[in-house]
Amino acid sequence: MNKGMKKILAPVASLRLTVLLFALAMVLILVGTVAQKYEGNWAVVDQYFHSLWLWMPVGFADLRVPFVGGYSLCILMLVNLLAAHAVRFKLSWKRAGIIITHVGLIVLLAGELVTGLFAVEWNMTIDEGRSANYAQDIRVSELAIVDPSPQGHDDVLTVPGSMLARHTNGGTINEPQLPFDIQVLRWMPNSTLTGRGMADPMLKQNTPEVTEGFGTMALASSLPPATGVDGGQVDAPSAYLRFSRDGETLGIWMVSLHGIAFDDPRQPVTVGDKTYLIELRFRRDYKPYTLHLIDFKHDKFVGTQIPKNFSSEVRLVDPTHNEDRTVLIYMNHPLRYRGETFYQSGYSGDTRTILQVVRNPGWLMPYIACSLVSLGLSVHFGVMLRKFVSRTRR
Amino acid sequence: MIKCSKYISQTVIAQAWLKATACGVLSLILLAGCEDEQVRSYQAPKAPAYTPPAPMGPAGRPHAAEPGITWSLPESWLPIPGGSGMAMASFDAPGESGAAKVTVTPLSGQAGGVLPNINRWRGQVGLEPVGAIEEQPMTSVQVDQSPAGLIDLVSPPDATAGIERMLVVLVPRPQHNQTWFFKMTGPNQTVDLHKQAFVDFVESVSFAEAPGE
Repeated sequence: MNKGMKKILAPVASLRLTVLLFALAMVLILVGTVAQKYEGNWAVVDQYFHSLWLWMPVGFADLRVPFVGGYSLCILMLVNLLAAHAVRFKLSWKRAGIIITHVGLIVLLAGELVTGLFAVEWNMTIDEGRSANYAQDIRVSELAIVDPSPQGHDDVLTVPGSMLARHTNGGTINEPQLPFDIQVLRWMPNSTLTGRGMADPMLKQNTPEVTEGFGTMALASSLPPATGVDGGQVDAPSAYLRFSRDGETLGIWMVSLHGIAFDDPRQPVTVGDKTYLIELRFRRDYKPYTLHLIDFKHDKFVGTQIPKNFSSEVRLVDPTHNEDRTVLIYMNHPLRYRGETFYQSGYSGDTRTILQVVRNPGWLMPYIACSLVSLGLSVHFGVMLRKFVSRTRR
Repeated sequence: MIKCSKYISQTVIAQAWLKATACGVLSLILLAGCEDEQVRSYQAPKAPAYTPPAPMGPAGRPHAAEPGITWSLPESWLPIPGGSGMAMASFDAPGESGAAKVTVTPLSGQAGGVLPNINRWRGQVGLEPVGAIEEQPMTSVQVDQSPAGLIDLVSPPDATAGIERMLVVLVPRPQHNQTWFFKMTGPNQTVDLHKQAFVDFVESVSFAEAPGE
């Protein structure tokens, strides 16, 4: 490497920078952990760890200071490590162990980046005797506008909840593919429903007058977002929406993740001679295969209600891959199929299973990284031992 | 390795590493950034019937709160998202012979009166109506520092009623023109198992007063 390049890289390769980065990482992890008391786990993960930078609270008043996010730290550590190799480290047998260990660390950092950027976690809920062909992301909501008129399938349009949130307080979404314009009168990231008859008069007064659907019976009111200490509670958004077509109002609807409290959470919206079904739901990902829940079992520790073991006996049917087999999913024995892993995650009642569906293209990288680090440390130990023995002999 | 190092320049390796990492990191971030929040359009198989979304977590949560009320939730109860019907909140209390259902329902005014409600519940489990409130056995419980009555109704063996067992605590709040119902219904065995948890749950309830009250 030429001297000019070395000069440029020297500060980046500094060991002081490494120590500083580790110190910053410790602060980030500490504050990020405490933050989960006040915010949702995933909001914290996105804000603190899956970000380039953030406004970090300093603990008093509402003062916040800019701070490096997890991605920046990860990238800086990678650059620091590579620059150190480029500037200081020399290729030699004696250093082989160190180099392999560092390659392992690089794979580990890269793996975290890949996981952070591309891994997805979904839920699949199946009742005994029923089938499921989609998973849902319980952290992301969407407004589904379903045209049920085609034979054999539904035509589905989905508007992300984040888009509705961006247009809250009167903004209008008028995308060309939508059958009507959507004016977002109010968006509530987390909410609860109350029957209109027993709602607080102030709430009634401040709520848009709903003309259609179950919003005529119930009112949605805003709740603070679920925090990381709320025992796995997830946000259930609601919204008040005005639909219009060619400037003519079709009506005002209330849509809510709590819509399942009603007989059917899908509400009809008629435009001309066509009826669409609208529903605010968790984001769905349809699969080309079906899981049918044959039997769900859960054992409890004797004399208590503490779950001991869950298992789901499912039939996996995938016509595209000529697959039709029965699988038992239980703790630490997930089903791996087509790049996705189905873990037994939870249950509701005695007959409903909840599977966690994880797709992580970088799932192997931590294993490879740990193997490389172990190998590197072993090689380095061997090299040092040999050196020690030969010195002792002399 | 020593031989190789004669032919492979360290400079080339180091620079290639740096370039590859920079490109890799940039392309990863760019690729991830491509997933923009847009209106999606797709065809989905017709759903035979609607499937409710996942409940709010794999296990009961220690504390739950709705506007105007707080409580401590038994660990083994599973929240049913959105409650059901007119209930503000509802939970599944699991049991071998089937889950019992717990509901919390606020109704306006006297909700039809105490005696008619008692007789309605008695009818639901297949018991004869009573002529006066005093004829209905009740156990005393404390709800938000006020005494309330726990009614325990068991279906007679020959009854054909759909509900085997019912526990109800009725809490009138005349100053707020409201009556609150805390109810557990389900198989006798399951309700028996969760009876103490239900009493603890009801006794943990605290009604938050609006500012200025």
